[in-house]
Amino acid sequence: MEDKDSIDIFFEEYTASLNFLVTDGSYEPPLIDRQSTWGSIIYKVSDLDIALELSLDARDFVVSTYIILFSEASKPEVGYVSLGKVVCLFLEEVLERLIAKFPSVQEDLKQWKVSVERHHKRVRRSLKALKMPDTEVVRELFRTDAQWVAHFLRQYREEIIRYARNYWGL
Amino acid sequence: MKTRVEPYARRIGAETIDDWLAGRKWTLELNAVWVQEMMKQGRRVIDIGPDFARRAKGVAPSTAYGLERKLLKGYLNYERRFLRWRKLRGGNPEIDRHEPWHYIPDGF
Repeated sequence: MEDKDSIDIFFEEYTASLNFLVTDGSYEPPLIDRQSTWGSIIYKVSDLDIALELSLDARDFVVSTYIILFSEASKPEVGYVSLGKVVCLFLEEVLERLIAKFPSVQEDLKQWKVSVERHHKRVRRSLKALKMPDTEVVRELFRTDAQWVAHFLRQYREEIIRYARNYWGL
Repeated sequence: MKTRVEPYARRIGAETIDDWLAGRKWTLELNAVWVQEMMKQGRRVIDIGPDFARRAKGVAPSTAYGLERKLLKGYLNYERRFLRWRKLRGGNPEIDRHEPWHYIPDGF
């Protein structure tokens, strides 16, 4: 890959697509963190111990999107669980729970996977050849995924938060 | 959740490739150099396994992790700290999501 760092591209694309969460006041400004091999963006829901987390593993260009129990999952030593309790739910999992109420989610989830996989395949091809992928390929991958995440949040954010509140008893 | 590696390393007081890179940009080449350097120094290498939760969502195995496993094959100070059941289930109970049947070890 060229000079542009994949983590910078990750920050640019996801914050651009998800900025609406902050401008309408329902989420706090993003918390951004990075190391050489990962980057993360957390949008905390205003007045709730719940947040949306986007986490990039820069070693394989995979972005995972979670709904997290903020006070626990944002601790540096916590992974998926804390004291035996799951504190990190995949957005995809939460959306799957909504299918019964919103049948169109099923098709959207399928399309999300297909479109991201199409871009990620190109990334994997480069990595398999022990080459870093081209900047534009990485940007397209992140942009596509970010737009899908934005789509789901525009459509179903209240339901997503309701599910998370019930899950953690908040 | 940043990645699984960092939270676990913090818990046990270990270092990760990020400590070695010290702000440098990650590349596959540097990843390989790091593994070779750790082996040269005789360091204990702890493997917490792949992210099974991610794999179960259909994410392809990590090329970097595959490269590390290849380089570490036969290394005496390699320590495996995860359990696996078939391709998509397993993990490290301290950081990963689990149900009891996720942790039936290989060969059961």
